[in-house]
Amino acid sequence: MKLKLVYFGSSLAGKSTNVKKLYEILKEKNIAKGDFVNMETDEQRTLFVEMFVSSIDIDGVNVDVKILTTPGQFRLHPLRKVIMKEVDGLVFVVDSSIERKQVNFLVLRETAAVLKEQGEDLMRFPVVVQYNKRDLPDAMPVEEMQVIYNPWDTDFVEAVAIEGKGVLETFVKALKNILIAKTWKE
Amino acid sequence: MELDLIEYEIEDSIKNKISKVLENLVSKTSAHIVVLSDDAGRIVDIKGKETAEDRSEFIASLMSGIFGAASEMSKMLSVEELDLLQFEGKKVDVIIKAIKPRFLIGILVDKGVALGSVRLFLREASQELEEIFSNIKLVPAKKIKVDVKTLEEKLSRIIGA
Repeated sequence: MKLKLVYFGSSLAGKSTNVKKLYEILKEKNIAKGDFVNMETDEQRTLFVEMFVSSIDIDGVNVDVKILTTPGQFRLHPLRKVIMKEVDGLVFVVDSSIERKQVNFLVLRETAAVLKEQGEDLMRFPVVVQYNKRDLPDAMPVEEMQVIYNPWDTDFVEAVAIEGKGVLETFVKALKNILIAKTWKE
Repeated sequence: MELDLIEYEIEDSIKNKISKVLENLVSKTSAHIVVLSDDAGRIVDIKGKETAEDRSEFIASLMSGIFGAASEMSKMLSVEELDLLQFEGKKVDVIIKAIKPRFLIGILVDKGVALGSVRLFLREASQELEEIFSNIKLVPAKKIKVDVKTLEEKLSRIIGA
């Protein structure tokens, strides 16, 4: 079974940090295949994509998960559309800083529109919301963010991705939601 | 509640047909690699000299990304729907072609191979593949029962969360 999991979120929300940390953790556990591929700008910002493949055996069923990030910068919207093509599940990385309140929401709205173009409804799609940067002094309360960024009450995880906190938990929940959604569809 | 987790595969007879088309293309063009994937970059089959799974997964993803990006540009510029994309490197040339309904075939050939003939053979292969895909059937290869309530625990155990 081949799955595609995409991390999306606003610029500098921590998508790349999440995926890099996840790769390091899974590589250590021997469930990441091959290298970590990234295409960055000179300023170490994601230009196109970052990705790696994880291979998991669930009671004899082999599940290959391709994990990708979208570029967060506004101008790269067409490339985000390309990366989201035929995606099986999403992780919405939310920057907890109050300063990013509006931009997080705009990204959510844009993603819903991209999925709609593909004939999918974000509210019925396997998504995990990750509230990242919980260590920031101006981090918004989770209850407040839940109302704005998770109105459909899907799984959420609190994280400090740069320290690896919440990274694996997010991945497990995303994979669970994808498998359930795929089984329902079939 | 229990759900059936099923791994689907393409029927063996269809797989063999696809494999023959790709092998034939490699032999006619002396290609380094021929990759057939869906338009999201999931590999269907790969033939050629470099077929290590992890690298080929990335190659397929990037091919789908490059083709997708070029398609987006075509739409913005209101040019006709993109069917074939070609770019030239110092040592190899790459051609990516759309195959209906939603597949891509990518071919990497050495510099010096006549690209006109590569495109011709690629079109022939595409037509054969489109015919094969019009009759494609997926069959369940493996099936397990999963309990929704314990699925997260099971995954945590496997992944070591």
